[in-house]
Amino acid sequence: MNKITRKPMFLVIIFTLIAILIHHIPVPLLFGTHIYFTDIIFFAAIRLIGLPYALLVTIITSVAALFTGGSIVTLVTSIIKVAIIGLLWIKRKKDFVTWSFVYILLVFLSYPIGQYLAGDLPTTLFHFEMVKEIVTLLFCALVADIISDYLPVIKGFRTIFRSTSSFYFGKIISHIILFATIFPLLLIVFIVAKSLENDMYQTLQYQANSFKNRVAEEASSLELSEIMEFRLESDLQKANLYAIFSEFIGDRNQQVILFNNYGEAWLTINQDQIQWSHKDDIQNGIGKTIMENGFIYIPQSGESLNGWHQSSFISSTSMLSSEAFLIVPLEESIVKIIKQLYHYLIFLLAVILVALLFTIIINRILTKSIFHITSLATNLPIRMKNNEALNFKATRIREFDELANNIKQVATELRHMFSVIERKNKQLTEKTDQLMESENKLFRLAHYDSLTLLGNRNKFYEELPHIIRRTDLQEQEFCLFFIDLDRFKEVNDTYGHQTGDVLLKRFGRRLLEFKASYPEFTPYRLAGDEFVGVLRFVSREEVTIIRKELEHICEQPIQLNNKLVIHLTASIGVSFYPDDGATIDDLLHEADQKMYERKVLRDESNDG
Amino acid sequence: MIIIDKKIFYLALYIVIGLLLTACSKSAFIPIEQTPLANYKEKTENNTVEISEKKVLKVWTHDDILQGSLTAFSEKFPNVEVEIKEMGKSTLVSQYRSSLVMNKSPDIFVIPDEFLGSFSSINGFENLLDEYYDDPTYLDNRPEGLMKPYIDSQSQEMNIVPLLYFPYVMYYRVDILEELGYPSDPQDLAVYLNNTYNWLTMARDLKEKGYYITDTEVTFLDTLFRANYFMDEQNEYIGSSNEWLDIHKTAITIYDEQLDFGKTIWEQETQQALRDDELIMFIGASYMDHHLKGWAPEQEGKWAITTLPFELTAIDQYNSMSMAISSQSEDKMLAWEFVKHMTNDMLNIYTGIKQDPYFQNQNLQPVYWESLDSNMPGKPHVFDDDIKMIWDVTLKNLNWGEPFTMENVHRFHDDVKSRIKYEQQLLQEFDKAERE
Repeated sequence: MNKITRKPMFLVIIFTLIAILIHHIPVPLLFGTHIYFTDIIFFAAIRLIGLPYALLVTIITSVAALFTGGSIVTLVTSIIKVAIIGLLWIKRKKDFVTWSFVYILLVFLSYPIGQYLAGDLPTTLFHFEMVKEIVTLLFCALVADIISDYLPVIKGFRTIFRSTSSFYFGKIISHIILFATIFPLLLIVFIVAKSLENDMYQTLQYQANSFKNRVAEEASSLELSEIMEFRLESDLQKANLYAIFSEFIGDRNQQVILFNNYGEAWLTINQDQIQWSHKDDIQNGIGKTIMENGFIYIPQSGESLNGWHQSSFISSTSMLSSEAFLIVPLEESIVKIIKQLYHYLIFLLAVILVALLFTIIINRILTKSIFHITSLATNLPIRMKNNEALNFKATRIREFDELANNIKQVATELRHMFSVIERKNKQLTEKTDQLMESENKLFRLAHYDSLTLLGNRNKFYEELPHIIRRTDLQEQEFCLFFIDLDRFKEVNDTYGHQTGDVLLKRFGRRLLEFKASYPEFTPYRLAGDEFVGVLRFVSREEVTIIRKELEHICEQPIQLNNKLVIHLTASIGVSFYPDDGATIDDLLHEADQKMYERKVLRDESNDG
Repeated sequence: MIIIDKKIFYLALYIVIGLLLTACSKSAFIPIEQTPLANYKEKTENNTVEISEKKVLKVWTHDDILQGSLTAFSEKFPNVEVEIKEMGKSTLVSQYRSSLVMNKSPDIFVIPDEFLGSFSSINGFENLLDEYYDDPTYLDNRPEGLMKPYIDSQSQEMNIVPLLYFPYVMYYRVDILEELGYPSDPQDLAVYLNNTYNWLTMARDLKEKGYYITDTEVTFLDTLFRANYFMDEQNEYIGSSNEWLDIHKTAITIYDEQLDFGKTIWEQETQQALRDDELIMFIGASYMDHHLKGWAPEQEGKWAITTLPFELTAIDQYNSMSMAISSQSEDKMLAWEFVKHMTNDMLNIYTGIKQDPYFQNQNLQPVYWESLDSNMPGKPHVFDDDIKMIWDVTLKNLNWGEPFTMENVHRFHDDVKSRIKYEQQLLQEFDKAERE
């Protein structure tokens, strides 16, 4: 599993403390039942810090809960719940609400086990507890999903939780719909529960007041002798009071007990429920004051729904020297109220299911529509490039259809714009090419001899300083070859400038071919029949060889046309850098001198 | 100064907060013992009999008959001082009941049997059948018939015990009956006279011969009404039962045929009739032997005692007494010892007696024991006063000359039933509910 956060143990502590805190402030429903929202923390922990840590949080919280009235059963079911839902989420992702339904299905399948664990809890109450737990689970799962999705993007939490995923719009809508549906209904359930409980208390208050009034009425109507009989707890007075209180109780399943000062029950009307002969029998139970001299008595050590089911309302009032208890078993009232609340919870469950169904439908519609829009947008460049029309299937959702149409319009506009731009671009490209061509031409004209295609004087004077600098750095020599064509003027005068040009052109080509053989040699045409060659060399012997080779090349006959072949010679003077000069002019001058010397020698040898 | 790592500090802080949250858990419910529901006043009592310091045992009575037995008790419990307070019979009931209500009662009450009904169904006395007072010999040593009216068979409670009691017996002249051919043995005579026919036949026969076997017809009725109880344990009025109606009819026959002497035994003439051998049989309480001896001392040896005719059972309520231990007593065990001592002493009257030279009975003890042991059908009841009051009025009318007829008898019973009807219904419904 990818590391979700950088500080897991720190977060385990925080989550555990929050879970314990939430466990200690459950929302009371009624009759000892509470709704605990600790599952929110457990599930959120699964996504925010990982399943193992979430289980750790669950175990610590549930163990802590044991010390405050929790049960082993709750501990085990919490761990199983977190483990199952957590594993499902890890394997299949989706959301906790979905996996909660799977868990609920497992719970239904293990219904007999649940009933066995519930012990002597009546079926109605057991079903209520089940439905309550189911609703709580679904709500907690939903809130956990919301927290897990949106908390990491809140400023301040981004550094703690590394979630960087974006949200599906459909999921956001689902969360909003579900929360907006469930939360108000849950609030209503709480309000209704409180209201039902208060109604019961009001009924009990009324009965307590009636009892008190009846007792006061009877006490005030007693004559002195009857008061004496009362104080002596005579059978006759017992019988009289029995008749009076029996009439007061009527068909109701209630009980009246009179206790004397010593806590002895001297009269009990309707002994079916509680068999108290002395106040010492009121042990092993807990009591809560709900009104003046009105108590709820649970014959167990802890408050639970089962305890409430066995509970009684006791209203005490004094009657002369005795204390009169009106005992109202709450079993029937509680079952009735629980049944009503159970129906409310079933309704809430149905609403959750319907809301889920609607969110699925909406999600599908949204997803489909947005998918189409996304596809449309994705295909836009290709289609535009291919100049194809954009097709969009109507979704029947006006906003999406309008968006699609707008995109189509934009695409059309864009296509038109692109076509215009393309055309202009093409024109621009052509013009640019032309301009570049012209530039190149100009450059060529500026740097190359158009006739011989050799570098011209400009180029020579531009490049030579670089050659000198590179030579200085590399400490390598170079030499200049000053090449002068012998008797060029004669050819030019004899055969014309046109033929002379052809001769120069062919000689230039020969020099280029020579360069191809000797890449270190770079020829230039300075003017007329003056050619210069720059040679980077390793040794002087190499220069001599190359010079001789060049001379040989130059002496080869040149065919000017079909009939005319010219035998030319070239005089080559070589100057060495830096020996023969540090500047270009010095080197040219030296090379020219040497060329002239050779030309003179050649002429003299030819004349001789 | 100790420098703590920041992380460890915060970790420790979180753990402390967590523990505090774990510990803090509040519920609106509290143990029921802490609510006002469980409040009551503890009874203080001494559960031991061992007396190491001086104790005072308070006894209230209308007639101090206990002095004779006090010496022996004082020897047994030298540290105990018994304070006996006498009070008038006429105010006894209200004083006793008030003391219970005001929480100022004595340790022991001595109650005249005629007022037992006023104390039979109230709270305030100790149940002497409780295992706290367990003494198996106490009941075993006493006649069952004597104790039966004191025991509530439903609740198995016995709050009052008989102290002094005078069973009604029949006194008769052995010699005359023998002479006239009637059974003279006490047992034989008792068997013979269990039958009203035999009694009437005998009465008629003896009258012809100048003898009377009863002083007045009213004696029977008076014996019935003053020495019996008319309400049974089921709150049924048994005064008009068939057995008792037979006695009424017999009484009326006696009246109609004038089979009686005509004056009560307390009249001089009647006493003279005794001496003149005219009245040879009469019914009276066991203390009547003393009076008989005074009225006809010369007839010593001629009389005998047997049980009442018609299988009647009667105990003189006006001279009998009972005892009860107050629940407010702080020395209940000591009080019980006192009660046992006194009642055992009084029982000796009937267990110690053997022969009396005045009477021919070889052994008087079985006669008295059988009289005491016979089952009395009724029990002391809260209606006793009302019934007795109505009977007193009826008796007065009869003494003033109203004809003694079954009609008047029935009217008496009707008056009683009418008087008790409403409360009887209440009691019966209450009993029914209790049993269910």
